[in-house]
Amino acid sequence: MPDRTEFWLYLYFPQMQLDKLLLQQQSSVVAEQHKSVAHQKSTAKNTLSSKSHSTTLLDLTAPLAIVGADHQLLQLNSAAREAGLTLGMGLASAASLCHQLQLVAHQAVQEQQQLEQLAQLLYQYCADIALQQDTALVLKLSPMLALYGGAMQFWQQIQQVLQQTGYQYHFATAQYPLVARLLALQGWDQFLLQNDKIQQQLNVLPLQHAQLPDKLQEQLQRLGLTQLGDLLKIPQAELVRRFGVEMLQYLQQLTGTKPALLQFIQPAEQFEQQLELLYEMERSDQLLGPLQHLFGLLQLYLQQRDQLAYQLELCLLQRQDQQQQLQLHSAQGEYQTKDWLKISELQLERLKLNKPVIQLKLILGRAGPRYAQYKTLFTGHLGAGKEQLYSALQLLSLLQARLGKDQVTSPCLLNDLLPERASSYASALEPQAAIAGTLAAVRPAFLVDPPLALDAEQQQQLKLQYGPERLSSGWWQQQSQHRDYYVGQNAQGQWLWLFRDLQQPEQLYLQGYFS
Amino acid sequence: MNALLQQLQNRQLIWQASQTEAPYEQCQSTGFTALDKLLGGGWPQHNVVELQSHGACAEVQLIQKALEGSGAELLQIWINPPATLCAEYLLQQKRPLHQVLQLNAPRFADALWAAELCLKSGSCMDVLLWQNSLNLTQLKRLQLAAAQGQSQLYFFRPAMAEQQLLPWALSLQLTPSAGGLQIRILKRKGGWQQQELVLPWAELYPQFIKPELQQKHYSNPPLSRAG
Repeated sequence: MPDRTEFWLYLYFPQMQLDKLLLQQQSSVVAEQHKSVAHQKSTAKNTLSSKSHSTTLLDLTAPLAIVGADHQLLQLNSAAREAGLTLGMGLASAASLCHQLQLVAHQAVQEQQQLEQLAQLLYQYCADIALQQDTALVLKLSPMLALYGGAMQFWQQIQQVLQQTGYQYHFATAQYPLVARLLALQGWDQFLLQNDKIQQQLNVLPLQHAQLPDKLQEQLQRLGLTQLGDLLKIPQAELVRRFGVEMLQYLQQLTGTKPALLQFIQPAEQFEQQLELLYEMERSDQLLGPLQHLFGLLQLYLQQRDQLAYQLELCLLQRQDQQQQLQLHSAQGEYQTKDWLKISELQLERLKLNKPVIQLKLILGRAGPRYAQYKTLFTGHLGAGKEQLYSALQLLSLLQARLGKDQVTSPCLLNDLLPERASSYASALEPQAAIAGTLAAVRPAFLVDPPLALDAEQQQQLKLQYGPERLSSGWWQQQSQHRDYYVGQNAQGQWLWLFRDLQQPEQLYLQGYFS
Repeated sequence: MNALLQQLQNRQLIWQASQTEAPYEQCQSTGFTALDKLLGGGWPQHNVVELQSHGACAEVQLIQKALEGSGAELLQIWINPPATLCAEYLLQQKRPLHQVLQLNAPRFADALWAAELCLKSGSCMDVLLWQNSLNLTQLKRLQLAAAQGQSQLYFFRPAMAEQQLLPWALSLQLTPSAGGLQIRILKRKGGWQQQELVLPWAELYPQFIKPELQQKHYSNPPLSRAG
């Protein structure tokens, strides 16, 4: 019978918004250091000034608090706690205790997004995850334990993920979600699957932390009940008769007679991540630090699905709802942060920011399954011990990123007799359909398009060396052409490819250069 | 001989006047016997070669046999060519079209950046670059990149009266003359300057210049229809 019992893990994140700020600060400092090492030219003075600029707005080592809509302190950093501030304190008393306190408005929507992202990460390890009101997640353990061969292995796995994200958290396990919630909010922090111990802990829980409606709590206190255990000793029917239906629902959830209503999350089909910047960024190269964070998330997403990304969309959001969009392409498909950083660096170099950027948004446009990338086992044209720096497709992506997509092309042959229509350009490195037929013997390296009419003097100076070769385009085409082609040298000794239209035989046209 | 000297000589860091035949570590035949002899073996490999000309005087034809020799597995890059590339011409040279890339880089710096990236990538064999000027630092960077990626850069630029002395591995000036293409060595690593050669047109354009037809020259095409 005990095998069939359910177990729930409740993860409570008390200061998600503050943790995010701290994490961003760390990563931007790391990026700055990284950059100053990479570009040794940039003097120490420069990096110092930019660093001080980044910290002028928010100093996370000084007292800082996140304030809710009702002017209560919701989250505090350690400096603020040392200054004597406590959670739930009003703004006025907080200001009198610590006048240099920095305040940040609480952003519930953003926190909710963070929570959803975290849930998506955890989904790799646990199938049933539900979001909760108080920035918390509840995970259904029991079906997972068989898979992991034990509770501790599973818990280690989860802990690892949580540590990577860097958020502070409290947790508790219990047979019913509500019990786990009460214990986690208390900060019990025990991963136990023994019912009696959990019950013991629940019984000594003070009533003011039992998440009862205020009115009920007051009534119970007047009755002299202080702990939750006292409440559970009283027969249920009597409590319900006295306190009404609200009490009934609460007790049912606490004892599990009524299953909790939970909506489990579904994995995201689409990668779309936003990043709020710590300060407005005016130069495009500053964006690389925050971008690295986004690409890190992308790499994780792609690795979990064993995919490669071919196209990304990067939105640079600016004030007054303006934005600039960038398309990032990779012909070979990449998943690693460093490769995408290289491509985006080239594009950002060319980009001129209209306005300072306040937010970044990265959307995965096109992805495909990952396949082994072949490299020659034995030495290719490069000598032994040397490796290709970039493959042809990687090279193409980099060139396209800097020069623009339409500036990198491959020539292609179309099925037409007239030279100016036969030679064209196609997208780079794509194999083209072969065209049957023999190749003409005499063709120049370069074509003049459209053909250039030569004046009488130029025609006089020409020395024709070869010809004629007659080309007649199809009678079914709009303008049927009949031309005689010659090779000639002009006064400067240049080799030209010339033709004469049979309609006007006096006029010579320049079609190409032999080179 | 001194051991140190011997060691230096083994690494080809000492140039001796007696070994003018093979000044380069590796050579690739140009495909023209007379030119091979003039250059002491052929084009220097994994390096930068400068070709100065007014254009349209067989300057691409001159390197064409070397391009053919480098195989079709690796890319061939044309950066800022002076006109549209003719696909049929490339097919004549047995070059798969999808292995050819043309880059248009209006900005000087972009073209050089692209050339350097392609050279060192290890996935290109030949890079052809048309540009008007180059300074010492840029040349050095390109040479290092070519050595790193074991690739070859052919640098085409208009013939100029004023010569800037740059340490090219090989720099040639091409001038068309009546009998053929006049090739003058402007600079050659470990070799003598100011040597000249006239390569007959028939060797450069065997597809349309037949030696027996050389006599007939007309300035106007014979009109097929009288009148």
